[in-house]
Amino acid sequence: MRRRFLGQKIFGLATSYALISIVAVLSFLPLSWLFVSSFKTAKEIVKIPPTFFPENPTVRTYRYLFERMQFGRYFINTLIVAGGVTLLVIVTSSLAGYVFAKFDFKFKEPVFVFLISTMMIPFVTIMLPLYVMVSNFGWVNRFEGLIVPMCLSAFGMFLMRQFVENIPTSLIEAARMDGASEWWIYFRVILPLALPAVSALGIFSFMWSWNNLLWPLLVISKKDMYTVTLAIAALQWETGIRYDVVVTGTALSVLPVMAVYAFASKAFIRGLSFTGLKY
Amino acid sequence: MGLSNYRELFKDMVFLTSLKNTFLFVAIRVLLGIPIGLFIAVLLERIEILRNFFLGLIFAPYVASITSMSILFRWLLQPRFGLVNKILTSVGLPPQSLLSSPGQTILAASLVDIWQSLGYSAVLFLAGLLEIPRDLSEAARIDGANEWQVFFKVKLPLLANVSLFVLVTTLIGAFQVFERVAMLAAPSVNDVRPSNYVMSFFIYRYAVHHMRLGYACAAAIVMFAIIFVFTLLQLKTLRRRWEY
Repeated sequence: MRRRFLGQKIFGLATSYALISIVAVLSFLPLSWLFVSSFKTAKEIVKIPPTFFPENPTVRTYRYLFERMQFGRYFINTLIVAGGVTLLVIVTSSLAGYVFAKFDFKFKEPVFVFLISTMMIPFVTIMLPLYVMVSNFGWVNRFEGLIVPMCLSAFGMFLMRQFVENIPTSLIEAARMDGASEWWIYFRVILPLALPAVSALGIFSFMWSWNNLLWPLLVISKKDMYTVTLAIAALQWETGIRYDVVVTGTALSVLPVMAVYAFASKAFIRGLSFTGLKY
Repeated sequence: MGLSNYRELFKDMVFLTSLKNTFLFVAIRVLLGIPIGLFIAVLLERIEILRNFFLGLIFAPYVASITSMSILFRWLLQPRFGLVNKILTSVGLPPQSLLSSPGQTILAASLVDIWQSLGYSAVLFLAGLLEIPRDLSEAARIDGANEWQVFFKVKLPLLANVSLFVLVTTLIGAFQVFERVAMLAAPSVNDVRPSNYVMSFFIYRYAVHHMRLGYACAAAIVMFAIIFVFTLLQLKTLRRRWEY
């Protein structure tokens, strides 16, 4: 009886490993195929039947993208936009989260509920009025147009409030008693203790901003101002049949994100499970 | 003036098609995608060695942009030199041409979307599963429950909160689908056939290319009204966890 139970358990475990391996291969194969193929020549990439490893690996398409298509510039643009958005979202969310968690003022709860309810409005609904505003400010084709409308995050404020509420108020009061200023408390007590929430918010703000297509598509029409994601979309729209350029451009846009992910995959995963459970 | 935009909308075949396509996309995305995510989480919970390794691989596509992965799949699904058909024919299945057959583009888009977001639901469900105290399932096993009973009677009810979170965020995200269809359905954003429109794409097209801002805004309001029902649900889940 006991032996049969053990046998069943081993069989079950082996099945689990087999199934999870299949899922992992299916998840990762397209990505690795993309990277491997980015070194293929224009001819090989449309070859029938397809090859897996490049026959004559070449970096010619990469050079083409940087030298003729300004991809270096697109990367800098994206870093400025995603970095700016992330920084501003962290500052605004943590400040608001601190205030809503640890201060009392009139109409606090109604104001908070009002702020959170803006989270419920789908972006597609507000993007047209937002675009009209941005163009009235003269921010079309400018970094301000990409960064400023994205710098407040209701989700971020909610997350930070949830987290800061668990920081003991006695810590803050002790600092205040010692004569610390409110800003000192925010920078030296709240921010360091809220680091798990801050890093989760930072990672996902950066990722969303890097990956956003719809908003840059509306606000940016000048090639010089393209973000990487907009650039690869345009690459497909304009050079659709040049599969080598499209595939290598796509690989190039994914590479930096994957490089960061390779080193910090635990932070990504922990960040997500953290927001899911804190929610 | 007045409600004429709305009256026109509900007679507009393109808008009605985009509504239908959006609902189809959401339905496949939720009904097929979430159970698969839960299944993967259950598998991951059972294995302890290499769990993080497998999770790392499965979560990887979620980190990449929807735009890039859709372009990738447009190429992989190419009927002639695409990898998908090569794999299908090598295991003896007939080749498919999902992207060029009418009526199948939305199906392909939702399948690709499920593929890319598997890690999202798996991570959340796994976090929920690992939070459940071991004693609970141990106690049920000692009382003679088999693995199926332990899962459905003990663990699943305790996953209610996480499930609701996954469901609502997936729903809201899926209703707003834009990049997936814009990149997969045609080589260029101008070539997407009206039969493949989804709501957000409809709004974008009418605002930007047909220069009908008022009409597009009316469509945006309709979309908001539909999503609002689901977001109320989300607000409710938030409220419940505010209890402190």
